[in-house]
Amino acid sequence: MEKVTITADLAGPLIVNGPALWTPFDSILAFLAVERARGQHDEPLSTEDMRAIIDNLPLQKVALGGDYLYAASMIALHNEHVHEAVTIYKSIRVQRFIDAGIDADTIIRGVRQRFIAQGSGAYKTGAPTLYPRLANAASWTVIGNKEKIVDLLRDWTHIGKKSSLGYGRIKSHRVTASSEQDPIMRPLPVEHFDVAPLSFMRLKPAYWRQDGRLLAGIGDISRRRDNAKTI
Amino acid sequence: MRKQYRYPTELIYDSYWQGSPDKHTANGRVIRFSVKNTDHQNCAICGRNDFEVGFNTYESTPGAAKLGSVISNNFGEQFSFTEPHSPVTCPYCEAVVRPQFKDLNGIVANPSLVSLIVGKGKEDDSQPRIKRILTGDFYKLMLEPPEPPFIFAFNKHGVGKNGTHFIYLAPVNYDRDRYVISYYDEKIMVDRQFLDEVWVRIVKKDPANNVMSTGALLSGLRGKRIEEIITKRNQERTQNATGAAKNKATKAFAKGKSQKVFEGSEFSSDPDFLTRALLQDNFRTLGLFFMSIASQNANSKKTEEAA
Repeated sequence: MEKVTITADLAGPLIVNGPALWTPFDSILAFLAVERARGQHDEPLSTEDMRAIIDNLPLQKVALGGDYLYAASMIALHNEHVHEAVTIYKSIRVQRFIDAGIDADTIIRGVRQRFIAQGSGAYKTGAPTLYPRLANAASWTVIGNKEKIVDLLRDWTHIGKKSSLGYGRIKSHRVTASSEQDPIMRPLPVEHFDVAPLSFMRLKPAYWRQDGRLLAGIGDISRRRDNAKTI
Repeated sequence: MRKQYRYPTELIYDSYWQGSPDKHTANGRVIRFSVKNTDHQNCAICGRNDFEVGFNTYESTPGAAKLGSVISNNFGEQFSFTEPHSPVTCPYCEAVVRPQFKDLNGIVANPSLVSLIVGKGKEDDSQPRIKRILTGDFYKLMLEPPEPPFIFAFNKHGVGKNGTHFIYLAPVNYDRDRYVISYYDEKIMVDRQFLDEVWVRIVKKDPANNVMSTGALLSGLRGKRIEEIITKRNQERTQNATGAAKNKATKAFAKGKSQKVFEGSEFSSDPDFLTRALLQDNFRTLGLFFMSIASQNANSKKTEEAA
């Protein structure tokens, strides 16, 4: 395990806003590891399979009682510029209904009877306004197995939301050795670290989930109150 | 030790309702009835499952009135729910999915004080625990947020008319210097130090004139290269620019008045300050901040004219 900095040169605007800016780099590695496993298996991955992959990323784990968090920092944007807001028009993808647990009969009936993709109600289409950011580069600092990280990052093409529309495209990236003094700034639970509380957050992937959130603040991972334990 | 609030709806349940919400009625009749949550299903809206008694999310209780469910057929934001397929809603979320909250422009609340942002004519400062404030008042709360934990949330487009349910989308803040404003489905990160700087360097100098013009100016400058604007401005000032370059420099400003404000403002002499003001979170913070101050200025002007 060594401390490394991952730098991505960006090829255009990216959409990372609000609490998503607090999401550490292990979320990206978790996505890449699960996607690679999906490509290597004929059968769909089960939730347990994905959980096992996410629990074994090539990053150092810091113990939190019975749980852990990864030694990985949040995004740092370099030379950020101004960018205007954009409005996109979202069509309804049937997969979203399936993901939300709506049964197939309801979806088929909705498409036939045209109450899906209407102007109001539960199945409406949308025109959300998005707020892209422009920056020359983004970087993260992590402690992990450099070779394995480099290997996973071979599949890395985008960061942030709306990558299918071209946002967050990565021109090139590099993994370089980091100084021991470089902080690893990320959300840390106030129970175990010397940080001021900010909000309730999840501390390991999948960060979008509502369960397992703890009161946390942003700080350097070295500011642990009790003796640092790594797994 | 003070109670920790993870869910905004529980904070409103404790502060607005004092832990004992009125029953939801229509035309004097109770229309929402509680149901047991014996198998600990997750709340459709917030996802918690630590409640024994909840309410039907989509189906009216048999024999009850038509509008007995928490969510009506007209609601269109089920994808913002944590467990949209769940038939049960917790009592905390049920207590805020009510018409009196749907019609608000916004809300700022901590466990001891609730400030409801309402339309003109509905303001009420007489109650000690629940205040009804105008759009022109909330900028003060942006500068001096309540003691944590608190929520700062706005309805769709910041307006209660034709609004929808929005409180469940707000994160609970625990830091007064870095907090999140929930602008319906958008989250704006507020840097209070920057807001204080804007207050001192821009607003306090001449609030009546600076705010509207600065807001228009910033909107006009969005999407343009700051360095280029500064350079062109300097070129124009020294009368070195001619022809197309001069036209481009002039067009960079939305209006003549904005240009005057820019020339006399701190933005003109401090490109770093201007650049920070135009970055995504700060710009959106200033949008709300200036909107509130401009609203207060307009109200003061009307009051003066009436007097």
